[in-house]
Amino acid sequence: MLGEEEMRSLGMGALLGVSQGSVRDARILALRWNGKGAGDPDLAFVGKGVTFDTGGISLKPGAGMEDMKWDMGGAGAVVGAMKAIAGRKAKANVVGVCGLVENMPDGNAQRPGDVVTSMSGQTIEVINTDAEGRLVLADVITWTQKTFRPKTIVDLATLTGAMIVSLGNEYGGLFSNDDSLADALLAAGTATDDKLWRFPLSDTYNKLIDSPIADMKNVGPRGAGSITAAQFIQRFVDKDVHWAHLDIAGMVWSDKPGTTWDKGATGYGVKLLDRFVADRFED
Amino acid sequence: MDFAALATAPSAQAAARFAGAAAQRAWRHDIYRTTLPEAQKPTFAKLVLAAAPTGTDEAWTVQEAVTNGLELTRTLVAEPPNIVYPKAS
Repeated sequence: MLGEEEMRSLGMGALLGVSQGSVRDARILALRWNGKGAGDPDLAFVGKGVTFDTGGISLKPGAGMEDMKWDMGGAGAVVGAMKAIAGRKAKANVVGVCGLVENMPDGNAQRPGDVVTSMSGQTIEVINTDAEGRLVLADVITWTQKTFRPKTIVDLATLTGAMIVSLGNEYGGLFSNDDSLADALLAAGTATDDKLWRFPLSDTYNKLIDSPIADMKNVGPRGAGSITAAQFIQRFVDKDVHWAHLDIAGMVWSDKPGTTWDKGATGYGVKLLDRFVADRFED
Repeated sequence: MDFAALATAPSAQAAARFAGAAAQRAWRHDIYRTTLPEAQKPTFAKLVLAAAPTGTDEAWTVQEAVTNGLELTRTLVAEPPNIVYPKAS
């Protein structure tokens, strides 16, 4: 568990910028399962854990804001998956890392236009304080890579409203720099009914988040919002790491019951990640 | 649930998955309801598998672990933001 003082000394300016408007201190939670014995984990799960998202100074509209208690659904999935993996004593070494923050408007909250320095050293112009999940993930991914050196990282986040516009509540969005990893996740999704659909990434999309004043800005133009968010996260993934980003904004809460869930929290992601570990990391 | 009534016996995996699905569908988060009328409270308390194929118990330990993980995730997501916030962990 990391507290704000440690995060400050590590230089996590992106994550702390999101947190500074809240009276709740941020935390990073790391859960480690060594089912295969000693050694670096092959796999890291990273979860966005915004326990409540008001949008900050770029405030969300009031109607429906109560939904934002599930903006930690990515972190929730990571925690539940780690519990499942440990509970069945999976023969794999996995670490689950969650960035926990609350995004609030306050006299001390970050402002649109603020430039923050991430733990990676890259600078970010915060155009929209409601694009805060990617700021949290940026620093958590940097810390995870430095601390655990995993070869594969899968991050989960209720990241963009644009994802709900594209795929509704039927599929989570999948973004990856590795076809084999992407295919494994798609297969696990089909097998468990935690379905995923893959989106493209490219240099052209990546340029859309260039900034005139900093290394990047935290939002792109109106179009392709889920993709530019993924491009942002990718800028913090080390070369040679197999990475996949799951944008599950439409999947963690349901307005109607389904086969294995009631109205409300679906638990999306737990079965997917558990199956993915079983199929790809255990012999 | 009496598996002997089926024409073909299911596999242990299938029996365990069935039990897992039932447990997962039954999850509810009622801890803040203080005035729920009796008629609305759930009545499904226990599922007993009769004539389950050999190996179901073993297969169930896997399903149980996954179900427990799922319930934890759902609880964390369903809990209101004044209960689940960073320092609380």
